[in-house]
Amino acid sequence: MTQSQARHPSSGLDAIVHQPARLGILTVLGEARRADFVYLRDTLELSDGNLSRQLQVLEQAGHVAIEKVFEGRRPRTWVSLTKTGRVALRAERDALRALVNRLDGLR
Amino acid sequence: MDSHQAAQEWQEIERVRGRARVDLRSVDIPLLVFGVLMVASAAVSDSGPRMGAYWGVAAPVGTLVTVWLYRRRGRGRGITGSNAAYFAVSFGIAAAAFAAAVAASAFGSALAAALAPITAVAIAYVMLGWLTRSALLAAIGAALVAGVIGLWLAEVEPDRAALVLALAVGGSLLLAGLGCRFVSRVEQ
Repeated sequence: MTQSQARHPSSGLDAIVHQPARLGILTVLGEARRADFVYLRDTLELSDGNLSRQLQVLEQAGHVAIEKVFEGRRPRTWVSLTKTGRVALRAERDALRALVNRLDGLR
Repeated sequence: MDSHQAAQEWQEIERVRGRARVDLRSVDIPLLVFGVLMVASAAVSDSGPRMGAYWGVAAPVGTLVTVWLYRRRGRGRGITGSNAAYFAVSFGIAAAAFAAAVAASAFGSALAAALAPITAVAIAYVMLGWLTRSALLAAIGAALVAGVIGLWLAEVEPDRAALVLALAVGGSLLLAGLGCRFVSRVEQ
């Protein structure tokens, strides 16, 4: 068997992106120009602390950009996907799809 | 990770994607805005050139209002999308509507002049449906196009055709928009 034939689709998964909460964050941002902290927290059903930790990881990896602003007196944290993040998200979706297709092929 | 786990994760990210799309692009806004504009066009339905001029102004104004309402709702909900595609499509359609009405008048077809702007609006709905991944919007656009073709084939009087489209279709769009708004409020 050649090396390419032996390669499992799961080898296409990125450890930083693949974590469920982080993948959820990137998925939401992939559909939008930006989303705020509260929206991400409520949509993904995460605690404030957990979401903050995951956003920190993604920001350090260069996948998201975080902007803290004041709207009137109200502080707001907006999160958007970077180009790197968009590429990583697409790669993750392709790898997941390959795994799902593999399952469909086995059925 | 095995394929079963991947399938579960895939389901979850598709759920999250769907939720984001619904929150970003609920279809009630363009239905209400263009429903109002279409009903209001009844006031100029007796004249093809006036109808063309009306939509030449109303289509871009309606687009700007739609985009402004989407952005306002997006800021309130905490998720905003890109509006560049909407501007490009909508101004293109407005230009096409005006050009179609002028061209039809030049060829002496009063019926075509009356129907051309609304055909452009119908095509805009189909394209908005594609942009927002909304089967409902695309279906409404397709139904509008079918209605226009039906009126054309039946050779309805231009004034009556334009009035029917303005009131019946505009009213239907308003009702559909209000219905979507009501359903989304109940689901929240």
